Amino acid sequence: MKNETRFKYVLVDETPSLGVTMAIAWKSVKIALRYPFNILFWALVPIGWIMPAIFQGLALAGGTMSAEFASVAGTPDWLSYVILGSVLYMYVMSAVWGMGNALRWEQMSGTLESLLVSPVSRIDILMGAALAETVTTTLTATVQFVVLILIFGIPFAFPYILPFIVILTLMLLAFYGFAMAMAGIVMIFKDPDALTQFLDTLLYVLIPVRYPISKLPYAARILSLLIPATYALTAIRAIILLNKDIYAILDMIIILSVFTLFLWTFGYLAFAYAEYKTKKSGGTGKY
Amino acid sequence: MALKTKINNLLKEVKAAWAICIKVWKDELSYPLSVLYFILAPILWLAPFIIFGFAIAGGRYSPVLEKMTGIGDIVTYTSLGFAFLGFASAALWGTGLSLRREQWIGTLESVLVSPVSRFTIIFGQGLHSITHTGSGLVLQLVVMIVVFGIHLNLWGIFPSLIAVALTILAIQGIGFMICSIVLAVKQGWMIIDVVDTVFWVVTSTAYPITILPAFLQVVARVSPITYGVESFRGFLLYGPWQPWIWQNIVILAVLDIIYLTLGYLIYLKSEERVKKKGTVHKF
Amino acid sequence: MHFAIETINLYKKFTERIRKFYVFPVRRREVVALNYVNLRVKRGEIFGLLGPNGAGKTTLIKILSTLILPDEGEVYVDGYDVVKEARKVRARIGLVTGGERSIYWKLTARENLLFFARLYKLDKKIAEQRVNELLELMDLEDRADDKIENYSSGMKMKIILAKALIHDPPILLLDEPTLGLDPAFAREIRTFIKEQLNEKEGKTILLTTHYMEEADMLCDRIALIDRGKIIRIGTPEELKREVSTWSVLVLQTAEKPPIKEIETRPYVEQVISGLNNGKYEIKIYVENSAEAAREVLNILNNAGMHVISFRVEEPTLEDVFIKYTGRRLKDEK
Repeated sequence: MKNETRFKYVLVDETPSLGVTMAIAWKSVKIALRYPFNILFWALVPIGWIMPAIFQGLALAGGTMSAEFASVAGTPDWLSYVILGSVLYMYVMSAVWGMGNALRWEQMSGTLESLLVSPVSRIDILMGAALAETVTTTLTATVQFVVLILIFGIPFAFPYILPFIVILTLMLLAFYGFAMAMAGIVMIFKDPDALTQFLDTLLYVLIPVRYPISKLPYAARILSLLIPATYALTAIRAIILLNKDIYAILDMIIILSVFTLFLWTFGYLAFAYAEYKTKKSGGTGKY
Repeated sequence: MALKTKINNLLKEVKAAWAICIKVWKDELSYPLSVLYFILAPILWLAPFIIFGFAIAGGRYSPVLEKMTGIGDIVTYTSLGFAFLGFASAALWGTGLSLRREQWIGTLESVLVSPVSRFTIIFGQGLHSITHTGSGLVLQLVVMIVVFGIHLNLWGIFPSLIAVALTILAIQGIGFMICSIVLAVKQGWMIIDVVDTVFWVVTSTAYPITILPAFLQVVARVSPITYGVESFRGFLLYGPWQPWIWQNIVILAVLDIIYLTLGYLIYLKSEERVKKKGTVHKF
Repeated sequence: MHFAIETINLYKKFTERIRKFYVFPVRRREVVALNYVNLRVKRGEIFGLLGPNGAGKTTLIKILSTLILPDEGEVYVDGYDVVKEARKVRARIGLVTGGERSIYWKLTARENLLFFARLYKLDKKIAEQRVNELLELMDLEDRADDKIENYSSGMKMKIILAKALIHDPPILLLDEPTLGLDPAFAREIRTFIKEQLNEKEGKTILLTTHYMEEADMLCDRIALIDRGKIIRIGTPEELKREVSTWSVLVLQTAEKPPIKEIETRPYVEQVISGLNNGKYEIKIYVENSAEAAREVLNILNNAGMHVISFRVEEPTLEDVFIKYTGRRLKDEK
């Protein structure tokens, strides 16, 4: 039997079921909540990672406003810009790695095969993991946001809450597609530490976390335009910092939707292929 | 005679540590991606700080920074600070993490009973971290000199290595303290993350410590890395003949003695406790 | 009428990559896990795969449960092809593999079982009912709301069995179900498998083991497997009959015995030797025990060897394995 034809059979999937997705997500959240110290840890320590950027800004601009910053970012308030960008970056990262980490966790604890042998769609397994991750990350991100607002006393306004949620959801959806491919990579390479660190660091430089992409060198700017988070972060800042309404970011919404469609197709196929590879090499249970 | 055996034993330890260092290097270099990451990482870490600096100051010069530190060039100030912190942080991780890694793989217990002393193992891993980030540091500086044309005082290179060496010694002391906690407490690895983050915040890499809130300034003043980075930057920019730099070096040497003694004592204590309770494997 | 499990010329090999220092190329080593295996398991029988570690038992179970793809050959479970109709296969099997870690230790027994019931798309009401039923069957109702991490190994295994039974599958695949359990619990699990699952509920059971007592006690039929090959298939009685004319001479000597010489004697079929508590132990499989015993003792006497103990044993299932492979079931070290 030829390999290509057999991949076709692995590709055949169960019908996804919302109930199963929820069951998988709820199980993971329940287990996460049984390590309350971890959640607190991941809420508070990353605040320390944001601090250096803020202190650097203070040391260079002499205050929380910068006229030079306004000329590139549209707002002189670099502090709000950085805080918003940093918290969203962590959100993006958890979307990218959530599925892979969850699968890896199942593999390490020995339960992955129990999942794979049950008649469940791989969409359910992946989205269940992603949903659980989103719940815990929303929790930690909210804590971070509140703590930072309290420390620096920035009055964030959410005049248009609906477009904010729409953009955030679209961004997560787009990244879930990418995350499926990453989950596949985790399945095959087990502990791709170098890869994850590399991508994390690279994304941090390329997407507008602390500065608009117009400050990037030309080649880096092109790369940045290929990442959905670039559009999502720009759109979210437009809403919150520049008080734009939903019509001003309509183009971003369309671009993100196209990304989502493309990345889901790509991610799903990549994960199915990774599953096929591990089923051939017998690596589902090993770690 | 006794001295000769002692020296022989020491040589054996050093050889064993070196072998461990080489082994970790080989593991690391056996993956193309990790080679690529090794080369690019120092630059990728630095990039956001440089670009953000440009965005906020409208160029590489900041009058505010010059008023506070005497150095107005963001690129010079930040890249030297970063190179040093990256190095110091790796030394900390090399020590703290070596035990964590063993624990993770589940071999900690066998390591603790093996004939190779754990200090050898810790130093071996530390040696790897130092050679690893040492070459990263050189790479980073070369890129900075070529791309941004920063000017270094060549006479300062040798004394700057003194700053590096003294800082590493103090960090080993802190590393031993962390190891003690990792050994004694469940999920002790979190401590490493916390300590690393604190250093990351209070070290004057991209900004002077005077910008920090008062309580963080206190932390910065007992951190050896603070004096290390100031003298490192000072030597490389102003050469070896500035008295204020040597003042920093003296403080660093005093901190060395304090941290090494403290670290060693605490480590011995906790190891004894752990062995008595036999809880090493329960992680 | 099809078989519960059928494999036709099933072949599977794994490639291990051995990474060297970056400048050196990657070396590959190929291991044949299953070497053209043909098996037919009838409905309602307990079928045992008996073989040492690394014989290919686990690979076979994982192929049957769709977790590993075969390289060549055809495999049917309950009449469905494991490659082409994997979904149908998954719904018809209950799998126990990977030891005691295949359930969530941070969840309670009830939470675990309810979770897996959801994966098999059982209705909430039915799921709760089924979970209660299983907990009662396992005699664990009073511990149902304890976290698994507080369970003993035997209790964990019961929950893992319950998990595999949650959707009431007609076929059970059990990979070393009693590995690491204390003897009393192992006996309990064996009785449960035989009396409850097989005799009462009529389930087809394929189990792997390297305990010959387990295979002897539980299985209707046994396949002896070694290095990916099926050596022999039959009922325990049939297999034992193959060595029924044999006897086993067990000797202990202080010095290393002249094995080569013993092997060449008439009546001697196989010789296995090893160190046991600092003494040399040899097992000699012979056709005519009286004649052979005299011969062997003569040889040892002539060599001036001191025989510490000597006894004659009846052959067991393991001896069938030894007859065909010249090796024991348990790894010798």
